[in-house]
Amino acid sequence: MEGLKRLDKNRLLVPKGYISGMRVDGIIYVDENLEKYLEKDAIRQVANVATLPGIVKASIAMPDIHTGYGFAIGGVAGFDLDEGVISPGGVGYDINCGVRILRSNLTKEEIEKYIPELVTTIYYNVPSGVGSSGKLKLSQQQEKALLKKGALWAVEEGFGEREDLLYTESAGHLEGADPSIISDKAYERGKAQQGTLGSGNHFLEIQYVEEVYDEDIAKKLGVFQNQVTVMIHTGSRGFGHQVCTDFIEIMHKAIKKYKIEIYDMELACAPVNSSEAQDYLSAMKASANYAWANRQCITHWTREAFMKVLGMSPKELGLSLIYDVAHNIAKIEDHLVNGEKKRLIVHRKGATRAFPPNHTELPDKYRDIGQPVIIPGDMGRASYILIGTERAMTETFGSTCHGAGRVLSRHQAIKRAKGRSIKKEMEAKGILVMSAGRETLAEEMSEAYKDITDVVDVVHSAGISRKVARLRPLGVVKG
Amino acid sequence: MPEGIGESQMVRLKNQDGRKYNFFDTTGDIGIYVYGKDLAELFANAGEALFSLITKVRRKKDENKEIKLFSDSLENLLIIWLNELIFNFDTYGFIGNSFNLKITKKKDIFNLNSSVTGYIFDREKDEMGLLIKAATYHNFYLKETNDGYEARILFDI
Repeated sequence: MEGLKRLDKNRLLVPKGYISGMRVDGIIYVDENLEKYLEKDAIRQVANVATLPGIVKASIAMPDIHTGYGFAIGGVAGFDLDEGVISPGGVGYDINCGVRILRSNLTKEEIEKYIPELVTTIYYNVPSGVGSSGKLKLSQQQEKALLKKGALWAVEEGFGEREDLLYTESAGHLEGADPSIISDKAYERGKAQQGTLGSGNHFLEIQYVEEVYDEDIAKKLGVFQNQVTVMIHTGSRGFGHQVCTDFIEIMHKAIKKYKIEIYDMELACAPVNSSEAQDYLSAMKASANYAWANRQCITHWTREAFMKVLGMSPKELGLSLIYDVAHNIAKIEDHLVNGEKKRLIVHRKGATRAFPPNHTELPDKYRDIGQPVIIPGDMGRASYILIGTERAMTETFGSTCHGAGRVLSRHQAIKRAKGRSIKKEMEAKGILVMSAGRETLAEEMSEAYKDITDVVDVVHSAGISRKVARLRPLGVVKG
Repeated sequence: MPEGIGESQMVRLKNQDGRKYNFFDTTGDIGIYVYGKDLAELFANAGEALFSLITKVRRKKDENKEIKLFSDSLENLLIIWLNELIFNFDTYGFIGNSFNLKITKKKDIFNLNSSVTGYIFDREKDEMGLLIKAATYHNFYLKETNDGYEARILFDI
């Protein structure tokens, strides 16, 4: 690609000077195979981020990179707390979109015949799709408590177990969420959407472990060959969308006030120490908490569906949380920059935290193996469990990829699906799908995405996370 | 017709005879080019394009929203207008199919006064299209042309 330089098998350099004003280089994790999907607009977005004040080391992108707005999807950037900025566009509209995975005591063979009933029961138990509202109608008082407590709120309301919190990134809640900063509109938009899956690429999947790559780590995660797992991919719904919408407007005023030059209005930002940035951070934390509560409620209803359909007790099912990770978030973390420990604000937009063994933020159970990383693929191929590494800490602010990344636009996908039954094609592969949306299955078909295995192979080969297990879908609920 | 695949969107893409709006898409998202002989028409057409992405809009008219917005720039006014409509759908299920709006300028402030008529989305009856999170500023423009006005808006899907 013109203007770029291949650093090694897995990395391309977007050199300072690719566009004017770059303060650091850009680094894109792609091998030659995935380079063919690399869009010029996405490279430009990596370069645009490199121009933001206070950015350190590099503007990084993962192999699932594709064009977004502001940051590219798959983007990671760390900013100095004194000289840097916070940008809502570096988190995105779906704040704390993320994914969690539950293990079970069941094997694929034991539940295969129950898949249709399980998928149907979950479909009706977990509201999904455009225009859906949840089973919970929250008063503003309840919503405020939820925004402060996150997944803990859900557990206290009876949705799930305290143990679930141990295995959720940041224990399912970020301290410092101030409900008074949230607009009335965000409250209003969020009150009926707690406990809903959403639409688009959000999903709930019943899967099985198709292959184990690292037996030792799999054992420590309680993962074994042929085991049934459940994956939940969703975020902060309309609540987070409204918070981002509100703060993009505030940041547009901030760039004028603080005289910050940006290439893309979706990169609007404010100095970390400004009131605008601190207010955003607080509102972002509230949204992140909303998302963790959301995934927690959905987990509870999924467990209920399994109990009902299989007639088994929670103990027999053993549906326990392996881990829950955010992939659209900004967090204050310590990282080494030029050999010196520095506190940074790390933006991950379509990228997953992948902390190494012995990191203080890991639960005791995973202290010696590193952080589990969950990478959802498209509905027809596979998903992965990876593990965080020291290399990620030194190269990518402890981050890795977040998914497959689209290669076809929605219209291209719909065109490609014309005259075909995606539902039947999936069934032929042994995957049952239920979807509410008019064109969701066409938009979300496998061909619309990069092969997740190609993406995961890059991060594994680059050493910024390691493969533990591959999961294959059996039943899929889509919005 | 195959499950999950609707024709309406593709047909709409081809039949832009009135040139009220055209769709474009990027790998992740969908946007609109929207046209109007004056600002009021441009804003109305943008609203119509937005709702047509969410569902196959019906003619039913039993709900009304009075929306008043102001801004020091027209560009900003268009984005906050669309985000206001997105909020009204995502929160109340409101789908607009008739837009009556006026844009005036007083001192340096642009004022939008609108009355939007439509109905409340019904999951049992209505077609579910795209879930639109927001109207973004990415590569956005609003400009005057020989025929009036034109704008480009990318939605986050």
